[in-house]
Amino acid sequence: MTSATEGARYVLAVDVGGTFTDVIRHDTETGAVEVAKTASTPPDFIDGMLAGIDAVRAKPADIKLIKIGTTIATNTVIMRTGARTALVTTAGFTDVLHAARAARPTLYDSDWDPAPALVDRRDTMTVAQRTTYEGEVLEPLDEAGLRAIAARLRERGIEAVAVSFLHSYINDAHERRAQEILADEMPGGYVCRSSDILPEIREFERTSTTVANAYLGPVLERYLAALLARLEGIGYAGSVLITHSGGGVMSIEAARRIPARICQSGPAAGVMAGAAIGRLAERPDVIVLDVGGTSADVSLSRRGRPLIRPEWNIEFNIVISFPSVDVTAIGAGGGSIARIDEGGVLKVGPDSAGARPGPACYGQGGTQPTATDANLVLGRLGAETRLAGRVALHPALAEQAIDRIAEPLGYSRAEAAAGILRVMRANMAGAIRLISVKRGHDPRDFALVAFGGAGPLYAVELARELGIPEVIVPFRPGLGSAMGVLHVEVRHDFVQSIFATDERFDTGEINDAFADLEERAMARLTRDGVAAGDVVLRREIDVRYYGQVSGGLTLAVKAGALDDDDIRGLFRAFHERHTEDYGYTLPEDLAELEIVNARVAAEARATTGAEPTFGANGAASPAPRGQRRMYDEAEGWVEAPVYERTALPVGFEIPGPAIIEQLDSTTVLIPGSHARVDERFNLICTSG
Amino acid sequence: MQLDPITFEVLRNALGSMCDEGSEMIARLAYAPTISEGHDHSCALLTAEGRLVAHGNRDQAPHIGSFEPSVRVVKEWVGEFEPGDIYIFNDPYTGGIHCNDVKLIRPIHHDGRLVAFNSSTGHWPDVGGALPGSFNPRAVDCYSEGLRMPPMRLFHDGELDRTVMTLIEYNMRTGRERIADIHAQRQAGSLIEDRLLELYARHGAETIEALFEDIFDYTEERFRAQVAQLPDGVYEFEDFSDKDIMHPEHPRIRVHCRLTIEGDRASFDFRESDAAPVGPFGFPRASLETAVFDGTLHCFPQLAPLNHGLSRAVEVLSVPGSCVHIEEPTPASGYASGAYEKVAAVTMACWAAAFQDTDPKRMYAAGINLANLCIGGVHPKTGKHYVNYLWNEGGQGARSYKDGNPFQMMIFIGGATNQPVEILERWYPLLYTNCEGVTDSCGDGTWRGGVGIDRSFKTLGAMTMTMHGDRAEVTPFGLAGGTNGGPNTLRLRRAASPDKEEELGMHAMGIRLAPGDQLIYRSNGGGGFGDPRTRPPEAVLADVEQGWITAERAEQVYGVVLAGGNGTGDPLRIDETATAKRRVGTEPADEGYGPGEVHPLGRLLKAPGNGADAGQSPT
Repeated sequence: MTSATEGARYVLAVDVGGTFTDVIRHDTETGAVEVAKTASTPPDFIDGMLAGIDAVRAKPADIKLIKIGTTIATNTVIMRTGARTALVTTAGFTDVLHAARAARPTLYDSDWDPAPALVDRRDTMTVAQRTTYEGEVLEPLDEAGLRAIAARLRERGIEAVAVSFLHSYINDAHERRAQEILADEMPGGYVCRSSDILPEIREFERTSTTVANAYLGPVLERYLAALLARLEGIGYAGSVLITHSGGGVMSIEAARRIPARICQSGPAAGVMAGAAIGRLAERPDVIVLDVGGTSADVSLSRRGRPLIRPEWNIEFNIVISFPSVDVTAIGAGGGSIARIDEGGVLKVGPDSAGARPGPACYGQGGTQPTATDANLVLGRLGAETRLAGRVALHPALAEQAIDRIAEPLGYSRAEAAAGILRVMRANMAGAIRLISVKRGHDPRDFALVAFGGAGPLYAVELARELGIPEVIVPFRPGLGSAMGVLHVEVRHDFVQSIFATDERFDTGEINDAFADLEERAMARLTRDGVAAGDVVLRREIDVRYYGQVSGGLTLAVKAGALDDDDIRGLFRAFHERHTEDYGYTLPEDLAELEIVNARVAAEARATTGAEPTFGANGAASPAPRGQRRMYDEAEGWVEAPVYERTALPVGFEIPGPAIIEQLDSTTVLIPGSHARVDERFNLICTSG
Repeated sequence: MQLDPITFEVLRNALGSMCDEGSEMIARLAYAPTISEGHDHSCALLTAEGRLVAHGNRDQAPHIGSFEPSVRVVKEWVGEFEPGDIYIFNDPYTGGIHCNDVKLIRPIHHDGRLVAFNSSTGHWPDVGGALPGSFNPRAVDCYSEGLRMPPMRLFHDGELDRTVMTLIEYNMRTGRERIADIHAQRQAGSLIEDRLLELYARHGAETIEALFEDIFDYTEERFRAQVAQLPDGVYEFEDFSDKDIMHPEHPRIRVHCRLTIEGDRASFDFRESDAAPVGPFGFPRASLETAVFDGTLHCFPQLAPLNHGLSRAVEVLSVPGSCVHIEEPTPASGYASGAYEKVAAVTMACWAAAFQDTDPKRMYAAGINLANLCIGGVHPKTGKHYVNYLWNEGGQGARSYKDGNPFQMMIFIGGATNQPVEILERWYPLLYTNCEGVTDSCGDGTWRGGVGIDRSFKTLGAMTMTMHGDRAEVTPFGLAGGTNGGPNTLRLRRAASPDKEEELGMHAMGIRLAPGDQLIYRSNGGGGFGDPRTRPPEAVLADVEQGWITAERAEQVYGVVLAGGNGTGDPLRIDETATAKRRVGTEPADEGYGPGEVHPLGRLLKAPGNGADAGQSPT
């Protein structure tokens, strides 16, 4: 990374969440780290961020780079507070956006409704024009008609316009012209076109992404301008980078052009943190579990890198088709509510008590039993534990809440509470298995990285249930996303479709595709301020059996010019991997293979400087700070020593049962499990 | 319940997840576009006796109910099962559904004892017969609909049986490719087996087998408890197919259902339904049960997924040889657009009648009916043969408390989606002209149905086209005075005579198309709920603004008169005086089964919060 300010030594990683803003100050010369947590300040979140910068005692002159992860784009979509947006599309195709993919989430549910589109149907305008799939213009753009549309949009007070025509990914002439005309007719309006935002085949996904981009455009424009002005106001003139959903950061300029890229960057940053923690701890294949108050984010990371997927749904049917870190949210968090259904069976989640009223033990008026209440009743959390900066918990309220289900079930309080945790763990385990299978993996081949305030409470037992041998709990579990922001570099992913099979492939064409992708990648990273020598390019190719749609394997490709043998080698590698993963290959006469996509991931070389070090060695053999009765499903009540996490030195070993507490999280070691502190102050736990 | 309620919940979810995993595995590995792109596949776990325990959350409803009868047939056929064997089976008359839905059935053993079965279904794109795709809208018997397979041992000791595989290859188009789909289904079964045996190892046979019984009891008890809350009585509904295409002069085919509720018992009597027509429409007994369970679960969504506990709690009566209980050799390939949708719809209408006083939220008007369009030919640019199915999403029926959604898949669909225009144009010689809601295609009501879609296209090469559908004339019905939705439509404007429009209808077969011909292909809107004259005028205004209905429809059916809105800065608004007058003067729609009419039995249902004569005098 180029350093904007001479002599400055700090990199700041900022994660602006809905409730809290976390700031990490990393001294790139010594590796020393300072962290702060402040209250977030909606709607613009800037005051809270500046307070955090102040709290880590970073003088603007000493800061060389600020990296920001923000929830503002996601919130804008979820709360529907974006710009009033119009869509201009090909005549006859009004409902490409509104029909979406006509999918629904479950089979038997006639009460379900899709999320409302970001553009009203009445603001969906069509204009005569048509291009074929080969890029041939069948019908010219009706420019006069478009100007008339612009006049109507002006009259309606439309602030942003998305333009998306059929087959514009292959010929963008009409979209370019339409963008010019609209910009001309609607001065001050935000106009974007699908051939610029996402030049890819599939009209719904491209249109939806472009619409989300337009919807966010004016809001992000105002936010970023205000942010830069305020930073300038405190005397900071260095670089600012924004995290995006693809697990990287990008420049302010890129964020202005493609604001939809910022959505979902929070969970993406969490995954990046998990991947980095695993990589540094020499466990390159990890499942990352980030458990918060209302939900748990789960993702897979292989060879030190998170899996990337081509798209994600910000809500069902609101699709943003950028390559994104593959993370799935499941409705299991500390606030998940337990209830007994009409058949007498215990259910947990996905309803959550949220932050207000929160779990019963918060003493804020909640009466329904939650996972947090169960943890308190079972001694896994202590009355003196402080969750998310709150005052002490109220065990009596938790007990009352748990009794509401214990009595009808005919259980002791502890049995009922343990039941809540068991059901919740089973839900998490089911989701993790399903996600793994979808991506073609077996969870037992991974280590589990657990963070978020609540992740380490469940991780060891969950790993045991899944047959996962090891759990890694980082030194600061409550700083997951901010840690991710700290670890991400400028990164962009580029994809190009290729139409080739193992019988008919043109190596020249494949070489051209990679060359073109790499050229685009270099241009983009250079624009984001990365020196050409610092760009690391990684190639991959998607191969599948000809005829498969969702399956196939992604294979690594070497750098430089490829020859025919290299391509044939890829097909051989496919057969080997397929046999390994699925236990069969198709008979030879059928096994035509197809190359589907060439991919290039471009990333800035990791910032040189000292690795951030969390934690410091305390006494060689710290005594537990106390002892607590903790309930274990197999052994009942056991006495568990309580350790202070920050006092544990490198190499220290703790057998379960034990509880390890720290300001922002609690790690539970059940009987039979074991933990060791590694050189980076991670807890490496075996599930036993 | 034998297990404690916590262990029960934990293990029951594990069984559901493993089926979801299996379904994902099939989608990932399958070769057939009907499976990999169309998601027309399912994956289930059954007990050793062949009782359904769990299935995937996004599976296809018609497959799910056929698992029990299919496993039953295989059990009778085989006797002793050996580990490592997998059977293939697709007979419609004994197992249910049509020949395209091919099942793999795998016995699962634990400690040398048969403990369970995995069964999965994949819709193969072709299983032979007279026409590519095996759908035959003019079939008069099953012999022109493809290869019927009795239970055959496809894998023995893990090895694929060459004879069986060759039989498949000899009897269907692209038969050799099916080996990929067989492996996809086999692999899913292997995953289910691993997962189940892990549970056996961890919890013991006794617990898992107690779990199976508990799952059935849990579902059955909850179902019966809810049925017991409903007033005892007989609830009746009927629906029709447009025609017997082989005897269009015959009366419409009638599906009639009488639901009797007595205490906690529910019985569906279809014995007054018509005899099976000569042409395709009907389905076998096993599919009748499936469609009844499907409609029932939509009205009891908290009981989903389907398992044996529900199937043993619902009685279904039918007459062999009737249109909902066909026998060999009556054709079965067109069941989905035929009997299935009608039976599911009347099942839901009977439940609506039963629920109207106690829980009116469980009342749903009928929605989009499948209309499958199959095209085939040689691509003029690549010289390659192609066959492809096209289908339309359409309008959902109105709910008793909110509008139906536009652009939804058929009621029995789990994971399937629509097909992108840009992909279709790249692969087939088609030029689409529309992807647009059909204005005024919704059934009207206090709550309206969703509109259907127009996915019309021009051909860019010569091709042959076959349509297999229904509900061009008898459209998705409304309830409680809501009108029936718009029709499925297929019309042709030939390039040679562009001024003439030809009605092709829902059973067009082997139509030769020339380059430049325009097909007009539109889908049903959903039925409405409640009298349209009680829909708030503001909601009617919004419908016009959004383009769902025209101002004419607003006035004629809803009695809402609009003014302004001619683009001169004068916004569209409600003319209050004219509306008050018009609402009093608007006549209710005529009784009948076509678009815009009111289903005579549907009309008898009450809208929530109103008397039996609700809507007769608008307020």
